[in-house]
Amino acid sequence: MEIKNLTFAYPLSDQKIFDGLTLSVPIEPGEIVALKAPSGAGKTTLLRLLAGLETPASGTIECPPCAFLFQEDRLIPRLSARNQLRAVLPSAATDAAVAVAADIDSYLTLVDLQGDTDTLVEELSGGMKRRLALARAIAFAKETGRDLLLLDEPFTGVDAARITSILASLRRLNFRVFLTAHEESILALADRVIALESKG
Amino acid sequence: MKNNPNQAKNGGDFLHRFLQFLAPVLFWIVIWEIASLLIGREVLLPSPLRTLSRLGELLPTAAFWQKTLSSLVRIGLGTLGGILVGVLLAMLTKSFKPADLLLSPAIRVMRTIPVTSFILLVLLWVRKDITPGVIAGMMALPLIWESTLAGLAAPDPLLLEMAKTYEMSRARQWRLIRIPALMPHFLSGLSGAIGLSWKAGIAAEVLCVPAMAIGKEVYQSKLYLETVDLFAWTAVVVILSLLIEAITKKLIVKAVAKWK
Repeated sequence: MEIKNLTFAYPLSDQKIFDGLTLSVPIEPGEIVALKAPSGAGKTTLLRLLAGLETPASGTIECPPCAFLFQEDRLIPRLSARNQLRAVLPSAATDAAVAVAADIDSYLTLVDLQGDTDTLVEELSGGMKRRLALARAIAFAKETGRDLLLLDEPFTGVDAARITSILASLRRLNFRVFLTAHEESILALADRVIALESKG
Repeated sequence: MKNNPNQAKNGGDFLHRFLQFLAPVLFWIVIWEIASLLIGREVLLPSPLRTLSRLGELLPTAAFWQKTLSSLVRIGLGTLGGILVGVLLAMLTKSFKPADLLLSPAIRVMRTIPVTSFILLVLLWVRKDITPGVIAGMMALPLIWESTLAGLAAPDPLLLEMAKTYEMSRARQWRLIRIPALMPHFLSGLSGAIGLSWKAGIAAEVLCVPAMAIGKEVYQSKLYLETVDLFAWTAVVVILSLLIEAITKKLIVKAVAKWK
């Protein structure tokens, strides 16, 4: 991922989030890179710019197709865990229902939700919802042939043992992972940490 | 054998609720009876017993059921038409700015025009047997338009951004996000629209006097000073109105619970 002379401010705001930012983040398959920055420095904004969800005022961004995990869970109300993933998988529209179901269950197993495949999202705890949102991003990436995951605070409410297990699975699946975090415990598990010191 | 305290409590609650419903009804019937005795002229105010007796004479007749069903179908079809048009116009308003600019003020003005003005105008343009249905539809339309519009604006923008980011098809977005967000608003508007349409439809029947209609019976009983008939048919309108509202509310509560 390459960013050159990036300038960005949100509409209706005079304050520039980035002013001439240049950043290069090469990530190898199976590598996990963390973005560290104080609160309000623009971690989420940077990820959204990389994912193409925001348009810079000036500068260039080069980023391959990715799967994006929002800072909020953004799960669809009244759907089960399995159906949250089915909703975003292109192959779920075909008649290979059994094969699709097996694949979906494997993504849920990756985040340790194999016992809650039919549980409605409203019945899940905060940490479980976060893991489900992460499973959705992983499933979408796998099914659409993308190997880059941009994850904004992916482990909010998730316990340390599960975080270690999930990261190990992402390495094993050869994903290139770029995530934001402010907990030192999560940053310590990354292969590399990039610091975003201040705005711009 | 010991008494079950829970059974006793449930029985007591039911009796309490029944008395709460019955007591005001009985109170006003007694007031009605006293007023009719004081006035002493049936042509001005018949007694409740006389009204009930007349209703009892009407109920077993085929003509009564034909007229009642005819009104229900006439007004029901008109209401359905108003609902469909209201939904279509709401979707048009949401999707096209010019449609919003043209339709929004017009529909808002429609809600302020007195029903009788509408009835007399429509009667100039369409047949008298169709007018009550048209009026029922015109009463439903603004309520459905407004509630559908609110529902179309209801989906969580964060969910919509998620759907776009994950390349969800438009059909899936509608099925999983937009329609579930729309339904509680739409159903709330539907509840109000059905009650209003029924009452406005009957009012239109009184003014238009179509054949085989409850409204025609109300009009003719007033014309011939058959006040007992007037009260009896008015009671029919009220009872049907309460039944329609109760059934609609029950169905809507069930449907809303499904979509919540």
